[in-house]
Amino acid sequence: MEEVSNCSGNDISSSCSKKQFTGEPTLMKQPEAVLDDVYYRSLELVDIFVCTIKDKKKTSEIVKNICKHLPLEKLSHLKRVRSNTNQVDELQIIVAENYEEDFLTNIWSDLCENNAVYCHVSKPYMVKVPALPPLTRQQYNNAVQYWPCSFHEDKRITRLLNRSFFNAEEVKCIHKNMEEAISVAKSSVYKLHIGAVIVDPKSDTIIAKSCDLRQGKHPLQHAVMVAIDQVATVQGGGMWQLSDKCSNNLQKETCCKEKGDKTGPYLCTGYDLYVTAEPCIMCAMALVHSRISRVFYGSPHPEGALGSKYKLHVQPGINHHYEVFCGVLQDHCHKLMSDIT
Amino acid sequence: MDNEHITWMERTFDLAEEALKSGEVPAGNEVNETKNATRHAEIVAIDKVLKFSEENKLDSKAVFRQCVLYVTVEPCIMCAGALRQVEIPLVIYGCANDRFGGCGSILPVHSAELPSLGPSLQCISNVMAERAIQLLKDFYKGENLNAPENKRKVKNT
Repeated sequence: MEEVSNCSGNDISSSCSKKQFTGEPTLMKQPEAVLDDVYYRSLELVDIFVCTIKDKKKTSEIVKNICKHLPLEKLSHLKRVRSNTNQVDELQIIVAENYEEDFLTNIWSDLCENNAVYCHVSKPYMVKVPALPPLTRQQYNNAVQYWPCSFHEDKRITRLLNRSFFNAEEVKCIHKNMEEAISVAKSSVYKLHIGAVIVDPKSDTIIAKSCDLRQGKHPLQHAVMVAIDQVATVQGGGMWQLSDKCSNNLQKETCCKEKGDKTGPYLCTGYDLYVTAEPCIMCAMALVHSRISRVFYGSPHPEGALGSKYKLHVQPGINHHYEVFCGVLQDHCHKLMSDIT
Repeated sequence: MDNEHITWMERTFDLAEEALKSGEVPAGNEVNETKNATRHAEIVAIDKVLKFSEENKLDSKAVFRQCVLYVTVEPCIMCAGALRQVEIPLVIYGCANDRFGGCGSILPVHSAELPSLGPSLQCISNVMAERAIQLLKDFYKGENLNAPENKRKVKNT
């Protein structure tokens, strides 16, 4: 990592822990994780058939028989039996995961004819139950209002959802890096103020930073695209020769040691991106190709690809997924966009 | 299919096959030599149009609007976004890109409601698709020699 840290400018501090953070307390808000929609979905109910167990002494026999003949497939997250909340001391058992009339006339009547144990349960009737397994504590709490469910809490998801994922030191560091992105955004000679910084979090070193150059000669030179190319330059590649002052002057010669070294960094593997505005679909996919590890952005954009219009980072079928956090110094980042005169 | 389109597609395949011989992904891209994973053939081509326009003192916007992009494989999500931004009106491609396709295979970036990105992109697909699929198969028989040892996939062919 020694060579890499040489590549960043002299003005970049190497450790966030030494730097005293002087901002107002509201700035220390945790970044908000942008998770797959499944973690935010509201309760969906489905109609099923249940029976009341009339003779509780027969429960074990009834459950055994029903589970054997009427296994649950789609609704395996539901507990098979519950004690009825309305009728104290009464047990209900799921007998069919669909609410279709022919269940009673075909399957159910056949079972009753052939097995005496079914005389200890009521005629099946409809209840509403949660259609999908709960993935979060909140979804679980809502689901069990209707029917008991099994739930294996993912502690990581819980911490991401209730914004307790990062410790105070990490939050400071995230804000410091976003401040760097804000400052590079402001350095632009163009009206559009967007800044991007790519950081190696292991050494807390800035690898690349750029403002947005799309209003210059090249429409594809969004801040993120330029920063990705700068990482390539640091690794002995790169394509765009930039003279603009708002991209940092990378000391290519000190970085060329990396060239030909196959054990060195590969694309943006292990790196974090800080960008003042939510990336567009082109930039979001460029980050997939570049194997970025995490993306932190400030203000959302209605056509953005990491939470607003799309959630490309959790798109099924794509071979690399990265973590996304939004709302980092959001007010400051938003102001950059509205400052356009 | 227009004869002109066929002629250009043949030329495109010739270039791609040349690229395969030199160890690049067979779509004319520069990913390995630049160590920049965004240097897909489409982005390289856009850069060349910009350079051409500058050298010939032409308005690049006007040049792009008269262009057709011929490409062996469906542009990826990134490239579909890039093509809309430079306002290329039409893309003609060989086979679908089931891993990254941005013209419908994974996401329909070409036609999605994204006004700030640029006008929608018209696509003609399945043009000489068999040749495109063969080209990809030939490529994936080899391995990416530019990836580091621990990231390199070993192909058992």
